[in-house]
Amino acid sequence: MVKFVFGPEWFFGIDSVLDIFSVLVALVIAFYSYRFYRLAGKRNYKFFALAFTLFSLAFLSKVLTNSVIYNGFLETLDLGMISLFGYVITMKEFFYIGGYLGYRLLLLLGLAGIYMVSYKKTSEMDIGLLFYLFFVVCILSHYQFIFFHITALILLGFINYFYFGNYFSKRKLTTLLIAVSFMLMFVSHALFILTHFSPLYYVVGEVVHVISFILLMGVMIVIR
Amino acid sequence: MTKRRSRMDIVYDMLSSIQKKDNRIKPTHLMYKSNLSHKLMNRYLDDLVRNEMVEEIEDKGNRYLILKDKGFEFITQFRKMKEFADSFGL
Repeated sequence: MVKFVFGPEWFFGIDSVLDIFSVLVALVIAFYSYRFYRLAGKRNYKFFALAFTLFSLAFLSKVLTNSVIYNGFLETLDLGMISLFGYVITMKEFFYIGGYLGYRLLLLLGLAGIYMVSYKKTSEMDIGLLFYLFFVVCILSHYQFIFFHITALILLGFINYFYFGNYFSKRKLTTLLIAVSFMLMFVSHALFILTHFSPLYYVVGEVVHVISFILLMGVMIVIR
Repeated sequence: MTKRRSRMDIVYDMLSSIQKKDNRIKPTHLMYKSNLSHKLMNRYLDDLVRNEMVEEIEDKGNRYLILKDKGFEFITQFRKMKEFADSFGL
């Protein structure tokens, strides 16, 4: 059976507000990165802008899907059943599958973008391959959401390694904030896995996740 | 071994050298400060004047270079970009 919501009922909507904050922060970073790309013409700035745009689109997809599911809008519509991959599903399930597939795929591609820019591996071939692999992971995640979080954790593990290395070589406040921010994103995905045991882990995961974006916002304020 | 400067780095070095000298520097001083040959500096300077970042003025028979608004703006944006790149490891 498809699980539509992960958190407790009192948290419905609050998570969307937290995610909207993440959308805005990701857009700010993407905007500045693109602006610097226009100034310097360096390819890595463009990729970085793209990665954070994918991040913001991912959270936007999650917010839209959750808001429709939470307010029960689809239940008031008699849209009947549709067939997908040989299975008959309701419109609510179809919307959930599409929305969450978008969220997961875009988030993994965003993380992969950050990983590729960090390790200077920005080739179109890699992007094509990753897109296919992530698509498979996201399809599998529909049945076992753990696949998505484990893939995110692996990518974040590499990203964390890079950013802590960056901090130890430069010892600046902004590099520390970024390293801690990505570490908190790692922790949030680990907590999301535990929602299988209790919905409260989703709440803690969301709070940890928004703290990571508050730190990224702090970095942008310092740079500005 | 020191890394070779990019075109952007050279432009920044030239503009910030002018700024550090209270926005008024002789071309010969700029050549030393920005560590460029005479030929190369003139080529960069032509670009900067054409792009309205720098202006040439004359005072008591001496030639001076001063920054224009676009030059100041470039310095600000370049510093932000460097900080961004350093922080995110780009």
